[in-house]
Amino acid sequence: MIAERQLIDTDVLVVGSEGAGSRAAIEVARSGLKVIVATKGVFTRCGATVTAGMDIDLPSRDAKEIFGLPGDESDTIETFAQDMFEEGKYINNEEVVFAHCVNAAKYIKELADWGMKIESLTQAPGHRYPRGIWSTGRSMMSALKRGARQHRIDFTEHTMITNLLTRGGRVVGAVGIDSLTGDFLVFRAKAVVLATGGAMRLYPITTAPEELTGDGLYLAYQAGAELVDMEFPLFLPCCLYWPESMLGQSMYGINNEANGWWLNKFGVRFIEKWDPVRMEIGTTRDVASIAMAMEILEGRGSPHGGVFLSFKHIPGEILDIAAEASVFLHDLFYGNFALAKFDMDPKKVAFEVGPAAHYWNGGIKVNGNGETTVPGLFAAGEVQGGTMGANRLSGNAVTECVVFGALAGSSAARFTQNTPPPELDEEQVTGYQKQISAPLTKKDGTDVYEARRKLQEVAFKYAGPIRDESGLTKCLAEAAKIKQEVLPNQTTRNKGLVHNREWVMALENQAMTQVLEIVASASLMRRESRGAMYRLDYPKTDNRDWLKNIFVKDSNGKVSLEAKSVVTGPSITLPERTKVPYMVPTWKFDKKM
Amino acid sequence: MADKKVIRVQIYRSPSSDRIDAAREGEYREYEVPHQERMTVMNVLDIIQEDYDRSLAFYKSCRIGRCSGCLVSVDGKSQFSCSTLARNGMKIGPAPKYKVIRDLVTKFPG
Repeated sequence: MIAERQLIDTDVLVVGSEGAGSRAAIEVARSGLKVIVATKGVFTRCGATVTAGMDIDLPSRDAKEIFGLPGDESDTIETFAQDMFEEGKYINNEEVVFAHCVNAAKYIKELADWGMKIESLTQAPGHRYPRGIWSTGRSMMSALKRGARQHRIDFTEHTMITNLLTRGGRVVGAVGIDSLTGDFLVFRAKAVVLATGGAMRLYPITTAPEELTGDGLYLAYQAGAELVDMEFPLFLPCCLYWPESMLGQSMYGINNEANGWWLNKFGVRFIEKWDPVRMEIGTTRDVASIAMAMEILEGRGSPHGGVFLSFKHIPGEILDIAAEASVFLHDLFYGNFALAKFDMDPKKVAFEVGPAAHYWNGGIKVNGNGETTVPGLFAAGEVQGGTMGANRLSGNAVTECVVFGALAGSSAARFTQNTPPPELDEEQVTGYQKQISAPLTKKDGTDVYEARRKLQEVAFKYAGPIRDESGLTKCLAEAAKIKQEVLPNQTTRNKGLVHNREWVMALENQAMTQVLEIVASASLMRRESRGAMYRLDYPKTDNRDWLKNIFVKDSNGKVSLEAKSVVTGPSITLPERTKVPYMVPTWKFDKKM
Repeated sequence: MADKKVIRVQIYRSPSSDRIDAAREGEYREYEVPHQERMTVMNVLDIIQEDYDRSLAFYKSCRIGRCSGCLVSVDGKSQFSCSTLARNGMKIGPAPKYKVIRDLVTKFPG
């Protein structure tokens, strides 16, 4: 049924084509090696980067010195790193954080040289100084496209990588399907860089694009790599819960320009209970999401399961001024998704909003060079763990993409130089071919769409912004059931070979189920609340016993967990080793611009 | 009470789901789906794919008007399916200027 097998040789295979993937590929090409980028979508028309709104962070001093923007010279690498730790709730990886902060300016400068437009400098919540260069994901991807063209990068589009190939404990390639032909692709590579983004599609309401189903996390885990901080998917508050056609569309950025109120069904500004100092405009996304989820859980939500975001206390003239001043607001008022087109005029109605899965804080464990714990395997961008800790400091996602794209690409290139040619394990390849084609060749079985809906429902209910032991236990039972009864029997109704979305979804469901099991296992182990993870049964942040990371690894088909204390040097100040209430703003957000 | 309104659209379909439709040899077929308030072309395509015909091919990534991947032709005009409101009787085809891969999926120039 499944079409031809094709063997493709390359020095380095990059999985994922956008902010991190294309940047990694450029770095590999610069060292004269052959690189292939496999991507599920189409280069510059898929992935998360292109959807970014976006502030891209660098030390404020560099913003001033390199770009001539109104940055602040008092900012240092150490202050930037400290802010990342404070917002990451002190469990970030110091080596990774410093690689991020030290290299940010260099690689952002390069984007500007390739033509990325810079609009202004902004200061997002959690930053002591204005560090966010304001641009758009589209502009950044145009810049990377220019860079990729200069190096004649080969993009293999509409291609899903489903498994990594290993031999003797080393990664030697990968297999997948070419959606344009249905062909089974076998890549033989000296090194593989994963740049596939997060797993936010595990949740039914998300700001993330279709492709972000946790493929890279699954690939690495299956190949024996360690993952870290997997209990911290980040939810973005203020995303539309209605209408269906705008589900997950973020209204959060409005906070930068106009002080919207978050109201429950009694019209009460509930954020006051959580963050009375900073309120809506200064609080951070983790706290806001949990505050909203709590209102919803306790029955004070809106008709479509959210809470209300209202601007009706602001005179229309002021909203118009805000829209003129802000690219983001202007887009909302006049862009493709103009609110008015959907009868959503902020001057007239309150929006129904709530938390939507937005970013994957944890991921594949890497060091400051983008190396994973498995030889020949590298990771960059959202798929990596350690940079953000328990909560990402706003504006760092795209910085992480370009910095670690370049570092992982460079490490992968170095690795190929003193490594023998890869040899494939034929039995492994044949086994994967059989597995991959199963949903297409089976006649009767379980429905792919039903499996997807079930996964998303379970994930949001039990492993969403608010969790507890009984829910997480149920979550694990449901995940086990899906793994044993549903996945092996998935059958596509469409048996076609060209652009068969159902087939791709069946394969993605495998990754998503494994990621769900890992999220639930790690969440159950962490008996406290921290950053993006809130446990109803352990509502305090426990800096005495839980200033730790949870490392996850496959152990003969079982999720093996290990909690290890955070280790930092003298430049990072850690909090006092006591239990504290979940939300303690350490300093008032003082917007400098 | 459930909204019983329906919406009828015509959608370009390629002749085979096993090969690329480079010569545009397909034809328009009519579909009828339940109407939802403020639904977009992409919502219509989603419903058809999930509930009526799993073989319908269309490109979908960000759904929020940013990626430009869901470019299709709506009554002859290039539009993004994610941000175009659905209307009764509309004709949805592959984006005009590009090579068709299958149904509404086209090959974008590098």
